[in-house]
Amino acid sequence: MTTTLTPGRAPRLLSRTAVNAALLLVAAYTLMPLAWLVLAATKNRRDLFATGPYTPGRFNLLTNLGDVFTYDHGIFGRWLGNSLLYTVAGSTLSALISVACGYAFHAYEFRHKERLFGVVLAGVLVPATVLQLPLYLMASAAGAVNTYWAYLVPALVNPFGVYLARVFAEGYVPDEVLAAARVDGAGELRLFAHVSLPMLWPGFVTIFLFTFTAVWNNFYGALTMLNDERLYPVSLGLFMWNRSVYQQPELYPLVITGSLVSVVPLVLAFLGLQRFWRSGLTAGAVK
Amino acid sequence: MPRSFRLRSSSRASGTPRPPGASRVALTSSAVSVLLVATACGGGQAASKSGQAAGAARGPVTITYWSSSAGAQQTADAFNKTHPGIQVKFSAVPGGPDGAAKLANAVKGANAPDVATMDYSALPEFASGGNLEDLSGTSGTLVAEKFPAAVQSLVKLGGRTWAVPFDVTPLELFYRKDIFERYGVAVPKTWDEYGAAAEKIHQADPSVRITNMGGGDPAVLAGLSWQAGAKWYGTQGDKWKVAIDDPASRRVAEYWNGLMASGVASKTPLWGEGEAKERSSGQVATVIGAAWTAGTFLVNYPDLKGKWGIAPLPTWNGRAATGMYGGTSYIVPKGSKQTKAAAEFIRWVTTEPEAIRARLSSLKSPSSALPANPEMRAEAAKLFDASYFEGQDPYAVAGAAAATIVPGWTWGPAQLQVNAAQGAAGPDMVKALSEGQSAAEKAIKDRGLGLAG
Repeated sequence: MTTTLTPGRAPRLLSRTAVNAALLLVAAYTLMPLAWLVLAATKNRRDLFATGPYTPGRFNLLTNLGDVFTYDHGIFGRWLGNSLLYTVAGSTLSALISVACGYAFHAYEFRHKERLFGVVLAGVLVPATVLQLPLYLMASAAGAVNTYWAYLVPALVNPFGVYLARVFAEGYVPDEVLAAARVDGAGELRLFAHVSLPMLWPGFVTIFLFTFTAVWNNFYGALTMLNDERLYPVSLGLFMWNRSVYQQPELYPLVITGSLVSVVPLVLAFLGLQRFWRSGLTAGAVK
Repeated sequence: MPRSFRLRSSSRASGTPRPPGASRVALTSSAVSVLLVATACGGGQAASKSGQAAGAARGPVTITYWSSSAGAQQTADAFNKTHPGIQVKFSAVPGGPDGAAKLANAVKGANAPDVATMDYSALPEFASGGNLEDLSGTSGTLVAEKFPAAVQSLVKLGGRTWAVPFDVTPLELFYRKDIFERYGVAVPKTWDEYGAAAEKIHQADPSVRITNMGGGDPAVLAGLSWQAGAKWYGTQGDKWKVAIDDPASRRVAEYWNGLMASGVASKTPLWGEGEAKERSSGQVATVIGAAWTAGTFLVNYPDLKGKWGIAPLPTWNGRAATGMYGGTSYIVPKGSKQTKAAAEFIRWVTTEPEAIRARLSSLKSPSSALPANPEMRAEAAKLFDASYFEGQDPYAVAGAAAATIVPGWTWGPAQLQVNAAQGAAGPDMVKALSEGQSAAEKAIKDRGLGLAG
């Protein structure tokens, strides 16, 4: 909490209580579904319906996990692997492309630069759902439907990332450094890869994390583009199971435990990279 | 937060950077993506269309098959073993409205499979949208000869056959034998008796309600209205007629709203976690289900073995009648180049006892789906382990109920929207009818189809 110079302790205490109460509410709102998920994943089918949503039942998590990973010849593991592949490859490349573009917008002068940047900004405003069908038809024409590419390639383009990267570049990469490196004889590629990219690292991680979440959760892209269940990411696989619960009630506990497993990589990615991310978020703020 | 990570405009950047010789660095994101799409072009293979032989003469014909049905993979495998001339390549796809949208997109992009499964209620929408092949020539005779009249009106529209039925789904009453016995209540034969039973049981034990009917699945309301004599859709000349909010349906809706208002029926939505809790803990005395419901009980409520009885759905006037709740048919999406092979697979999968054997033996939870075709139904009945229902054969009850399905029901071209609108209406059934009515009228007008009256 910030310290202020307002006279009197009571109003400060009051406002602090109010803020904390509000934060507590928001935290509870965010954490309750997660708590439910964690608890539900540990219960067997009987306890799931017999016990209250927030009371633990007999501990059955390991059996549930075993069921999830062995159902249908271990298809869930394949989905998880697909998701990791799509997400890590997709968001690494996407972040690299975004950073390169943002850097280019910062470091170079070229014709129609600001107009082009305007196009990028306009791209941020177009909702993903609007583009789904055109993208699908383009992928169809290219013969890429139902391949890894149909899911990966659209994920590489991230106008918001380009915008963010430009802001980062303006904050982190001083023109003087670029000029000095050029005087020392660095080529433009080397300049980007060895001088600018390390300076832009927090920006890279920030964009990487944004893209990571978005690709991991890109459900509609997978739904339209992919028809082969061996190519499905985990989100689509779980959705398919969930839709089949009507016919195959044995899938119910699998959907719950599978959902818990599928958020673990996201949590790990955030915990591992949040240090960079936090420093990245505020980096461009003062500029 | 970024809302989208997609291909944007194809505007191309002509890079003219400040220092000379650096132009290759300055590629815009869109230019990069154009390049990558081009790579995908060369590297990708359209799996859904690969392996499609040019004609039947050279090697086996490969047809693609999408479904969300349980056991579809094993059924396709069994077909492939006995049909060297046709090979079915199966893909598991999600069901429900999203699955339907996916299929419609696939038809637009010319990636649709040669065979798919579809809920009866979605057929008119897909047929009127030009997304289905007309099967009159390939499967018309099969449907006319091998299937009961009540389902024929569901797959025939405008005199053409658009699908081949798989199952019939008559509504039935599942009831807790022990609860009815304990309070000396007879199994209701009419809805009046059902209401009286609800009150009597709830009075004797306030924790028990007659059933849960708090929304969550508008298809039940459709089936109950169907039983009451409603016909939600019809045609008048070349125009569609919508009568969702008609007197017969109103009667049904007001009846259930009344039971819920007086507290003898629970407002818990269908299919949710709450429903499973109420049913497994004995807080509801009956379940309005369809033929396929019986199989799900074995997995959902294993502790209640021997406690459930199955009876015909209570009626309005004492004359046996029922409606349908769900049900699956086989279609050939528009654009298939293998309609003959597709028709052969569909014939096999909807009428051959061997097909149902392959399906049922692969399932982890038993299926009590009632095949529409009589030969197949007999085979399915043989394979179902009825010990859960102690002495009652769910197939016999369902088969008898199927014979009382009120004939002449057709679905309409806007049922997906109607279903969504009714789902949003919550537990209020009267509201579900009026919302459904206006959603249907709007959707039909919006799509430029004729609306009568």
